[in-house]
Amino acid sequence: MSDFDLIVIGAGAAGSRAAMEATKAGAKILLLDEQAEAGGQVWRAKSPSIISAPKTPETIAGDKLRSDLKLENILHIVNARVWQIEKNNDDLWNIGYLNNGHLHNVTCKAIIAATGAQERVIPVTGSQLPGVIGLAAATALFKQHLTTPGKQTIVAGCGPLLIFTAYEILRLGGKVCAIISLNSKTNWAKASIDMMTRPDLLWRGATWFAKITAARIPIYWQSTVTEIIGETHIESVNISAIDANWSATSHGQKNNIKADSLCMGHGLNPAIEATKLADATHIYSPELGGWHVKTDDFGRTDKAGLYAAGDNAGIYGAGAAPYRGKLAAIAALQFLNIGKTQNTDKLVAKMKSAAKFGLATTKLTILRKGMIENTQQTAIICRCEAVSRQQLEAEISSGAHSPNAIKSGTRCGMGPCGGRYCNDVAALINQTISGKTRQQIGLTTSRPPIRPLPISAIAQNFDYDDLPIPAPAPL
Amino acid sequence: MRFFRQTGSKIKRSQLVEFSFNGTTYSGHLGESVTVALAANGIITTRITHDGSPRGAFCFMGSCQECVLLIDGLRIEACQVALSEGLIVQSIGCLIAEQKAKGDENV
Repeated sequence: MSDFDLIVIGAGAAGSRAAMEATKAGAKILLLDEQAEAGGQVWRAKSPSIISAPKTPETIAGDKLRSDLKLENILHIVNARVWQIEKNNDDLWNIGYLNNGHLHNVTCKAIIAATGAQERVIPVTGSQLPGVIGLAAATALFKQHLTTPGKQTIVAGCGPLLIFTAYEILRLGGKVCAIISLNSKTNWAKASIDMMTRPDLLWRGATWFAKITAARIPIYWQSTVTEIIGETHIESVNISAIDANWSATSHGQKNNIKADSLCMGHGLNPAIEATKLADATHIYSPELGGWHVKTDDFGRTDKAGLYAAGDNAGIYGAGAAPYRGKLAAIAALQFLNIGKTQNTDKLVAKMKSAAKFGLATTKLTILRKGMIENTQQTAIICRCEAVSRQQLEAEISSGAHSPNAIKSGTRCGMGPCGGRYCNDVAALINQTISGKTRQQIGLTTSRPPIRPLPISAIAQNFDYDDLPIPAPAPL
Repeated sequence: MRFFRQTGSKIKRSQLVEFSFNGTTYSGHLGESVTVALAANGIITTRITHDGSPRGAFCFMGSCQECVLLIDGLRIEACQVALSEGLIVQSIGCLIAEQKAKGDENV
């Protein structure tokens, strides 16, 4: 007997819809999410410190998702971090999670992993300084706290988050010193054509550009941040023009801009820790954000009873996520033998149509091959363990070619974040030395816990006197 | 003050409450995250690495572990903890220094 038919990991755009669909069909489900409220990163809820604030299209959509979820009366555990996923002896999935300092174990017949994505930031010298945050990080500040990242902010990187971040800072009354865009105007014009599938979102993006233009914010097209200057925190930023491969050119125009904060991001990576631990097959495709779990249109992985929905199975974006959630729920229900079979052709078509917009935005964030050349030898790649590019290169040159070998040799990726922010960059550096493809390089071995666990949660309360101490061996 | 907080008429925030960080009393809005409350008080360095370099909150979504602090005795990401009256917040570095001063050699 399992505790649940289905456990959904992640209550974002995909996971919430999957949970609702499965509940409607009569499955006994559990929804686990790390945040205090459902919505994921895209529909992140306001913190309780905001009593009232003007509504935006984003907050309206998020509130609708949360009220829909409440109507379904789903068992939804917030502040729950999944740290373990394994098959038990009865061929059921065993899921371990941490909730308010305590560990819990639950079993289920099927899992839908809707773990979303995490931000990719390609480091340069100084990017580890306080005051430097990710673009997605900035959007979390806006959505949850209606707070800007500083008094004078530079916004840098690629893709739609760059424009959204600059717009939000202006909306909240902050100051944007400059926008440093890797993408060219032509890149954006081409992407807009693919974005025609969602005229509403395209129009919303156009209003962001309009506000930025009206505020006369300098935009440096086809440029990148090359160095962040500061002792204890960011004080200024060096920027340079880039070539077609996104490498800062020696003859390109250079500038130094003062700021007390920098929001920098270079696209999203699918969050694959959960599906990796469950031993599903993963594939690498740059147009989908890099390594992601391999699924069909219904989110079926190659592990029986394991499904994936949303950006962790490739960055198709928030528009496609609810459809992917529904489709994964339908496949899981079929596996569980719950409910009637239904015609899903229309749903698949809707999902594919919605994905076009997400794919167009992801395309703007595909890193060109010169980007990694902008990362200096002194740049910190692994933030947790303070490992520089120089240390990584020395290790790789001495023969450590696999991600596991690099990790054990340098501690890169061994820190508490679990390599989420450095593994991708370490592999890019590995490529420049070994000449291997990303597929050949592969991934590190996944081991529990996939989220940091406090020792107090594992040990629970005990007195030293309670510890059994064996009698000393006779001399 | 580093984080520019909007106090305009359109955004209404909760009341201010007091909390302590490394022994000093500060105030912040009830229910906002500890990282935001600290930043509003000018504190953006949350830890010092083994090689002495300062770090601050980076991802604001509980992933990067840069803002892990000791909050009411629990080692947790400050960006994931809502501020409440009387919260005792301490940096891990401050805790280690305190225990060393007490003569604990094992830290």
